[in-house]
Amino acid sequence: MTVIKAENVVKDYGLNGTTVHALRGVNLEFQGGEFAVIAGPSGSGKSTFLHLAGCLDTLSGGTMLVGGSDISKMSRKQLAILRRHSIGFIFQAYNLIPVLSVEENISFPLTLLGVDKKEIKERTAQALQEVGLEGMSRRRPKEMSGGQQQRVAIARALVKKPALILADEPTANLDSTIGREILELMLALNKSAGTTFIFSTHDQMVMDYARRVVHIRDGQVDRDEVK
Amino acid sequence: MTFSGIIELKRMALRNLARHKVKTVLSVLAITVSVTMYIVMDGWIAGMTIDSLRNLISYETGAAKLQTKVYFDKLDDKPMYENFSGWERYAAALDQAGYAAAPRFVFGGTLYSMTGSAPVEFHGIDPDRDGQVMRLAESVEFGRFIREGEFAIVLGAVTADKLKTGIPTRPTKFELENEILPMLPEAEQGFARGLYELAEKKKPGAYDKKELELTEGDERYILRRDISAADADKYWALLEEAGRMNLQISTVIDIKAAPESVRKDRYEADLLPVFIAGERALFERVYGYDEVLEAWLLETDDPALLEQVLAAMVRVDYSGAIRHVNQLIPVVLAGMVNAPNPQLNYNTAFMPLDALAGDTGMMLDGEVTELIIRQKNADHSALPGTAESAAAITAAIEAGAGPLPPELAVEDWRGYGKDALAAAAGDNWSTRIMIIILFILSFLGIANTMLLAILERTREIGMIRAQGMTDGQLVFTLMLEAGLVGLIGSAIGVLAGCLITIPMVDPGIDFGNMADALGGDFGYRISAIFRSAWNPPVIVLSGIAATVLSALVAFFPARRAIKMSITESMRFD
Repeated sequence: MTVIKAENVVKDYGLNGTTVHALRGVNLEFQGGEFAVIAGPSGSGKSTFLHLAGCLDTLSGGTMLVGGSDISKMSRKQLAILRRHSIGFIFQAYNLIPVLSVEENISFPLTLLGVDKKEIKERTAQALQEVGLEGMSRRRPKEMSGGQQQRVAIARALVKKPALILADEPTANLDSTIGREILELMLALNKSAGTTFIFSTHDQMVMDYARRVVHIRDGQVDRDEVK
Repeated sequence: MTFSGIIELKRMALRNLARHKVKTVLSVLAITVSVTMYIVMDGWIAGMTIDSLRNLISYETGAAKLQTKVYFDKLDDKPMYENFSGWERYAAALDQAGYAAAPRFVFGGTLYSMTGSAPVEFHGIDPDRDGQVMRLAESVEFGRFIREGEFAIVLGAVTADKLKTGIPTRPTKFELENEILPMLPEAEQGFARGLYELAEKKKPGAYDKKELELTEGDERYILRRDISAADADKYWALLEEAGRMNLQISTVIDIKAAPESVRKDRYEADLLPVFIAGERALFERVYGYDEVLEAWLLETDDPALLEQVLAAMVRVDYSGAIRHVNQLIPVVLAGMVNAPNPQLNYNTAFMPLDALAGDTGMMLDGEVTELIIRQKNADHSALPGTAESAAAITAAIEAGAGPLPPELAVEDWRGYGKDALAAAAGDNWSTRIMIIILFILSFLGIANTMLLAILERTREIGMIRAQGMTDGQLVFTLMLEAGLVGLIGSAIGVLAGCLITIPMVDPGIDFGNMADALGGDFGYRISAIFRSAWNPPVIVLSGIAATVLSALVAFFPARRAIKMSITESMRFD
């Protein structure tokens, strides 16, 4: 099943009075269950592609189908609901809510989904177990290490069982050992739940783990390697 | 999103408030102060207004008055010549319809005592009828109320004290020992002294008991509060015997009459230009011009002609048509009035109308300036209803006595109490505007707090939106956060407002000292104790309004948050 289908995707944005062409006609397709990387140097457009695929930004041209829906034809509210139900995000800076505990951060997407309290508790406990953070549910993000915080972010992305998880440079702030642990964890989840993972990175270690590496350069697909 | 989801958002909002403790506390404090002040001031103004209006009606205006239209138009001058007669007919008609009516003749003059004088507004009243309409008789503090036919007055206690008539309530040591006691038989001086206790000397302008101080040699005595009625009466009789109650009214009786002469210049300036057809010819039949005196002199004593020419002069409001006759009226002081309405305690005196009517009084021929009206057995704690409106009373008079002459009209208490109503309305608005400004400042504070909080949390808000929170949910969450500040502030404000209002309702605040200093004129018809009133709708609504408005002011910073794109928010530093 096609999770993402990008056809001639263009993204321009203004920066200090000039127009930056971040993506110049990208054509890509990702199937369900993939563990793929979009790689490229800084400014190549890899994060921009990930943001478009995650419905966080709007297209300047072309078509992007996410789960079969054309996102350029959807309202802000419809896009929010699509993100809520189908897409999980893992960011380089973890982006946890500081006033909420680990448990509350993880359960937050379920709250937005309107899942009942009992189920939230069960699924949160399960997600905590999957990322190996049992016993830390009451901690606040600032009381945890970077690696632990990224695990919380992964649990938060996983807990709603989305079809797609987009991870924007997830290991950039972690040392290699922790980074490797996180990648192992995501790979295991990919295998066990069949969740599609798409990373943006220029980290070779992440590329080594991926089964597919799409190289982007100057806003265009340079190479698409399937291992 | 489900209810539990909203609860979850509330929890997040609460935690965010805790995260910015100082800002939250300051915002809560601002709302608390605003709500508290609003409740306290509203209750106070409401209490003062209702007491003031009750006192206005029960002691000054009744529910309505019948008077000439011109008298009402010139009310500030109290023109005694704008009177009317035949009030008995109207009173009888009103009696049939269930109303009580009391005639009054109001005039200005000077009241002389043995030691001084004061300008006083005198009311000639029918003592029995007045008691059915007004509460004056209940307010006699010392002495007794006046009786029909006697040349006696009851006088406001403050003015009585100033004129050194009646029972002295706050004499200085010098006055007591050198003026009052020596007036009395030696055997009674000890009795009289025993009625007083030494008071503290008040600093000029001091309202606070803490500012009171005793100055040696300048002690003031105060009449003991616990003296019996019998002792008060005995003391009154002793002072009356000593001549302290002897007074004299000096007034000018204004009578409408054709003047003996009209100066040429006044004729040409005041009369000729405004005379209508036939009036000039009439004037020239009644008056003849004297070349030497350069004046028109009265040349006829034909009553019909005199009446016609007077009517023409009155029509054009010619001041020369009012004749002034000086009159001195000896009276005794029968009682001292200390009423809840301060207007009665200062420079107002009441005298029996029948005594006043004679040749040694105001030479009245059944004329009165006003007929005060209330429903029989009216509840003095309630404001007059529609049954006591000018229209209802006019209808009652006309049903029993035929149509009112065109020069007469019924005016209700609102017309007479314009100053009191204006004072209340003015205070009401100025206070509300002041507090509303305070509210606005509080809300600007909340808006600013929220704006800063949103700026600080831009990345976090971007992430929350990335998780799938819609714009509406985000705005709701942020408004909920501000609304919680408002709710906490309002709750404390309502509690504090009620706690402060409790003692202000009962026993109230005693402004007696300030009333003395201001001559009793607050604009309000309240003597000394100002009491608040409970106003539950305002208490509830001020709390709700502060909460809702707090939430609403967060809308603008919240909208700013959703205008930024998600990716921009997440990059924000």
